[in-house]
Amino acid sequence: MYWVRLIGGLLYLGGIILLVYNIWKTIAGAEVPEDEQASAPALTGPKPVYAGFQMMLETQPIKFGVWVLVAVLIGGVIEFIPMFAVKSNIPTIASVQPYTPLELEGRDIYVREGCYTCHSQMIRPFRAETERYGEYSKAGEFVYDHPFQFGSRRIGPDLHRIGGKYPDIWHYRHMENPRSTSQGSIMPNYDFLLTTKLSTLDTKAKIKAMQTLGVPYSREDIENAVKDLKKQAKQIGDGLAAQGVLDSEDKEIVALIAYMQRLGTDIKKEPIASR
Amino acid sequence: MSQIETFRYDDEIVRKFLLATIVWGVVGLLLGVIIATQLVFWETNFGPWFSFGRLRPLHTNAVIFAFVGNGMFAGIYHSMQRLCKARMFSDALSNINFWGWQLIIVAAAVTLPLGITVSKEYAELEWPIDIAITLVWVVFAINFFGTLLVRRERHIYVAIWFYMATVITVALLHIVNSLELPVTFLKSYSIYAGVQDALVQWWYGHNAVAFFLTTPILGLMYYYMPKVANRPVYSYRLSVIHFWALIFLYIWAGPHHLLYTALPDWAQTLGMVFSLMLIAPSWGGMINGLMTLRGAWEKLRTDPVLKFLVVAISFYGMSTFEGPMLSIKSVNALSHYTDWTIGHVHSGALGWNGFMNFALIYFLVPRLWKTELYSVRLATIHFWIGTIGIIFYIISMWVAGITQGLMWRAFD
Repeated sequence: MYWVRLIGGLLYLGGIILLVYNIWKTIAGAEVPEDEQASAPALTGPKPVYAGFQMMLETQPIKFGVWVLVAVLIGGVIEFIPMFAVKSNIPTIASVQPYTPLELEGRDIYVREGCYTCHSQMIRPFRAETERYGEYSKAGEFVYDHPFQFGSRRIGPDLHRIGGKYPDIWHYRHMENPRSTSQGSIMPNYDFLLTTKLSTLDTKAKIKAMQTLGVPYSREDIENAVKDLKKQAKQIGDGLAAQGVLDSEDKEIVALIAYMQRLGTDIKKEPIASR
Repeated sequence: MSQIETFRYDDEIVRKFLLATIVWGVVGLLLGVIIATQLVFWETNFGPWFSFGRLRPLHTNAVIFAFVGNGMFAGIYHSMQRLCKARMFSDALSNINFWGWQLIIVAAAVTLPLGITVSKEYAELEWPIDIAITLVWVVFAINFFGTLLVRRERHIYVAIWFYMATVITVALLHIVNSLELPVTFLKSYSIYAGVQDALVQWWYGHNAVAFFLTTPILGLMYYYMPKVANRPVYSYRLSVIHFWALIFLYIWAGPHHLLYTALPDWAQTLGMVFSLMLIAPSWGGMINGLMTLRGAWEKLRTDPVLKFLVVAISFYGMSTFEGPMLSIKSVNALSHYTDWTIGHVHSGALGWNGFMNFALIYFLVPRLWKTELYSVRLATIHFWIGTIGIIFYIISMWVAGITQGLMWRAFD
């Protein structure tokens, strides 16, 4: 079917190529004319009497605009206010905690690569989904996700509960070449993640920004951001080394693995007293 | 007795926007073919800058904001002046609008493949570009309202109501959804999180469809269809009713992108119900557009512009029926995350938006260069292969999407 879609798209593209040729031939010989001239009387005189509100609006652009604004504000206001003001819309899950600095860097790689274009992170309350992916996704699990990454498409599987499902080495191999772990996969190779060093220049600023947005990081979390990141990265790197993969702890892949392994695991944890 | 004033319309700005429309149209459609190829041959992903995940947003931004966007500006600048019997309020603002918009598109083309993105659909561009979009849009709004204030035609025609809804609502949507806290010059985080961010995003995303891809183009339909058909608009009363109903109802529909997710039930229900109600004003627009052709149907046989217009409006009707159907929770339970959504998007994008743009180009270019279209036959061939292309696209996506949905829910 993807073949048929590609052919359809090629036909459509072919059409616009014909347009380009046609328009080019049309314009090529032609001289650019002067701006079209017109004439009309200026608007003066007493304001007419209107046969109704709509008729009046059709001669008063500013008033018309104000009513347009009113019309388009209503739906947004009614949907937004309860979502932001009524806490019970997003029941708090006590065991849900902010991402560690390494996991946040991994999440930013996920955002950078546009993983959401093929993967969702939102398991729906259907048996077909919970059997395949695990417990369905709760609103309270996403409270620290700036931005959300629910996704709109599953070209690949949902990832919301991928944490703990596969060992780190699986993720390493999968990113290097998805076909090495998943037969028939059409996911691109992300082997550059295995060789690109993770930049920690902005890590502290990122944690600070998240704190500003309301994520409950402490001052120590911000101060120790890079230290904590390197400690967690070393753990993952050592684990991978035991599997034969050397020199990985300072690479981007380790951050992404940390993020993957965190996804969806908080609901299984014991609630932790706030840090 | 008032003074007769002589003036000139700014046609140069329309010519500029038309040429930009054509250029970005080729770019956007080419990107579409590239990412479609990447889904058939994964080997055509050349990381990191040329991967599906980084190119897909470039495709969507190019076709929506660069292709449809420039076409929208071309049509609005051309028709506003004539409906107002006034030159655009300010030539300087017109040019800032034009060049600013093109620079924004170039910025997108550079930043998105580099992975500089916030990864919120149709709002991927990072915060400096968001600010630029806001500034250019304000320039456009001043130029637009300014022209209305200096107009020589007292009555404001229906096309202008639709343009006005676009000018006002796009500003609102963009500003609210793009609220981000910058971390560095090229990186920011959405001020919203989780399901709240999802609600804001899809309030924006669905209404980008409503107020960028629908209302301005309906406005263009109301101006150009009567001109091309040489017939009056079918019903004034219908235009009043469907205009207010459309702009009011559309805003609520956002949650239909979040059915059966963690978004609260009450919001999902509102999204579904208002999406269903939306069939009425949408079809009001379709009816008004098609019925304008009453008594003039045989013109379709010879005029490619009319062919594009009529089929565009028909695809609009189809998409605005399919959309509400997909918004029904039980249907969405099957379709969500599948290619059926992609098929739906493209019947609207290729059928309605693409074809309306082609109609506009084939109609305006000969007039603005005071010449004849080089080949009516080529334009007609374009129409047919475009239509067949759309049909291949949507049927393949229906089959794929429904297969995916059924396979995912299959149990032993």
